[in-house]
Amino acid sequence: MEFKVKAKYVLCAVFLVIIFGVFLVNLFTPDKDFSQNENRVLAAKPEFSADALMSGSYTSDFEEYVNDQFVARDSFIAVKSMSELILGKHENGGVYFLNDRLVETFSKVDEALFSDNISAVRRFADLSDIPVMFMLIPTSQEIYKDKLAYGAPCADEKLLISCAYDEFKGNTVDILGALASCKDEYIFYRTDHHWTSLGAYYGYEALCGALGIEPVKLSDYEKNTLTNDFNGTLYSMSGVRFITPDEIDVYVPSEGVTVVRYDGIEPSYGGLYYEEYLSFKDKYKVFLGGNCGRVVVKTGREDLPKLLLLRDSYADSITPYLTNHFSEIHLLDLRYYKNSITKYAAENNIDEILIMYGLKKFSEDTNIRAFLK
Amino acid sequence: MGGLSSYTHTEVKIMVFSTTLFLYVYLPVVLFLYYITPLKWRNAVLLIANFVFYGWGEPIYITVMAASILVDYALGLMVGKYRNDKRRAKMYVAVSIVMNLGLLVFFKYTDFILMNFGMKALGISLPVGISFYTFQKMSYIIDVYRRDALSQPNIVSFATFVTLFPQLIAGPIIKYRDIDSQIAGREHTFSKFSSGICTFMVGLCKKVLLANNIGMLWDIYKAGDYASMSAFGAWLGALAFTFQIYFDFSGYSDMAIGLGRMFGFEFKINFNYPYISQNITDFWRRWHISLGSWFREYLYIPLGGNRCGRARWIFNLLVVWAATGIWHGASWNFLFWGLYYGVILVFEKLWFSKMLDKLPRLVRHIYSMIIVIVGWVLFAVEDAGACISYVGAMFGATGLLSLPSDIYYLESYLPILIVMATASTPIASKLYNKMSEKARGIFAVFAVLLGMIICTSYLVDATYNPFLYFRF
Repeated sequence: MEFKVKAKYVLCAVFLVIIFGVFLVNLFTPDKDFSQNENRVLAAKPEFSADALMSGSYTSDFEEYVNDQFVARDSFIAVKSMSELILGKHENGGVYFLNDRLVETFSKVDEALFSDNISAVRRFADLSDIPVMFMLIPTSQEIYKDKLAYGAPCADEKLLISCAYDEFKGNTVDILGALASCKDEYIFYRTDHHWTSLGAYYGYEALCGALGIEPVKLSDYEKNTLTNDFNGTLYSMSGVRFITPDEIDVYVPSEGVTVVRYDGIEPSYGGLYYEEYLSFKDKYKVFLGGNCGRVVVKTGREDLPKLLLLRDSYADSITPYLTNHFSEIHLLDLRYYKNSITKYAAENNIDEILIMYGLKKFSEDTNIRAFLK
Repeated sequence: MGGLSSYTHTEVKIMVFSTTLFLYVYLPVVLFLYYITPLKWRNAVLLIANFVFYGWGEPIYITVMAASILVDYALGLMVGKYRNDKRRAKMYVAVSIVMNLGLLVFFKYTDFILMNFGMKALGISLPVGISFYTFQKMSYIIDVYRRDALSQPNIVSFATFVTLFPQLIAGPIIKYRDIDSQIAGREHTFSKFSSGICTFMVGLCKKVLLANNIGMLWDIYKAGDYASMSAFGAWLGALAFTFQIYFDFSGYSDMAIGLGRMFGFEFKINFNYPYISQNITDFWRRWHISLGSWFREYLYIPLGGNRCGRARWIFNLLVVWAATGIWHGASWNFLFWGLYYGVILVFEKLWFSKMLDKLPRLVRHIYSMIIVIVGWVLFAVEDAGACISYVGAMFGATGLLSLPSDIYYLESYLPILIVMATASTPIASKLYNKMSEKARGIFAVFAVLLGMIICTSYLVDATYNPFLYFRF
């Protein structure tokens, strides 16, 4: 009898302390405005108005506000992913767990969009006076396919790339082959979807082969580890916290190279590596400073040709190697740069155009068919 | 996701128990205000809380509900006053029924009816809970007419009954006579409260950890191409939905019952382990008990029930099952689903049941589950052609036995499927009751603590939205 009495009081106390406690903590802790982990601005307290209330927008904004500002939000995300792992799931948040690394899932392909993008690329190449090369980079899911659980849905990236290259009918680079032969090396980050500087080097080697130029040997460079505490995009997406953080290595020294970023009213100047980003979460931005509509890399070697890269973020880590072979490298990101590419190439005396995308991004991007002109 | 109406209409944004907003803002605030209020004003506080809950998302529909409450309040008093003048009382009952059904038909079925006559839908959105509160109000007026209850002279008490937030959105449907004495006066004890907490937590875990989870598996199969689905995959998907709907709906009912207890109310159970049924008759005594009970009380019996010729009895059954089906949603597949069960029940009652009783328990169970699982496919896949395709795939129409991806999904979800299969039986409950009181107490405390942490983590994660590329 005595214990039964105690239990019901304890139970009520525990439950009430939890709901009141969390309510009060949420009420009195200051609001955060940006989430490093989620890479987005968190919802702020909505403005009350009779209109907003009647239309339902106040209440739904309020609910979003409560969720976004919930105490220990990041810890709860980690608890959930742990729970999913314990339940035996092989993926969470669009990321497969392999023993020692995370891999972004890539299984559904919008075939119409993919086909449109390839057509856009081919059309552009046909119409261009300047030689165009096309390069698709597979995801780490393809490289580590044999480590996935049996039957795990995954796109046939080899097939997708070969179909895309066949359709393109021009100069292409076999990145998949180059990376697959080095899969036991550290070519993809464990916690991020990008390739490492080493992976980018192998891509560079293959690219040189296609361009007919001699690549600089990796041994000619000294490896410099900028950080060993990089937790990338897959860390965020998956909520998994126990994968060893990544190292970011750089090989090519930044001497003599100027990087001009056009992402504001005034252009900004820097070197190949933006080391200020090493103190934030998204350390991959150390390469060329992250996303930008237009970046121009000047090497000072005026005798060398000029390259135009139409790209996504994979290009940021391969560009350092390319500084050996070009006087200028122009990087345009079609998500932000909407002007005519052919005009830009003509105005800037471009000698070579390289269309370089990660395969997943290429299959999902809607800007290519719209703005590749 | 609220109650069943979310399977049929695109829902107006409502307050849902399984959100951080409800658990950590609404509930503590309402409990606090309720318990600091002196007993005699508690119904009023609860009424205000009910309206806040109901009006969350689209306050405009409060007007519909408030107006219909006033009308039924007045009609209830009229029926009570003229109870000796049967004809007059009957007229008031009829007015109430016409109004309530009219509201329901207007909001829920108008577009369906229009589209079937080739006309354009008006895009009427469904006020949340209307399928439940109109039925509750009709139960009131009929109970008063039949003298199973006295009319309620206190408008606050009446309105509280209609709008009780724990069961407003997704039931259980409460008959007025089962609750009228509780509205007037109810005990608020620690035993009730702690028991309510346990029931609520069970419901929360069922919804957040089980239903939402297995729902992801059903989403995958539902979105697939049925013409290239393997038989094993089709069954796996159907099984996923079978579990999802049970744990979602019974979880919600558990939360409603648990919350009710926290406010001193005792609601009847709505689910009694339906997936251990031995035949379909049994199944419908265990599934959505309050709905079956409502239809039996207020439709089947008034039609004559089984106290008439066989032909009339079959007719009555089919009418009730058609109504049950279409109540779930304004779409032909729901009507068909209801009649599917109606026909099977007729067959069972007339011929099968004697034969079934002779078969081993396991066979009866498998028979029931096959019918139930296929029934859920009829319920879940609205388009007739798609539905036929899916059921066809289940029975080998595609010629594929299983695919590697099916094995992957089975393996990924196997632990959770085992947990759900176990939780569909009374085993856990029996084991719990076998424990000593001390052990039960300790277990309950830790289970509530752990349950809150894990459920909260899933709820917080549900709005986790990382951007790979920062949006300006």
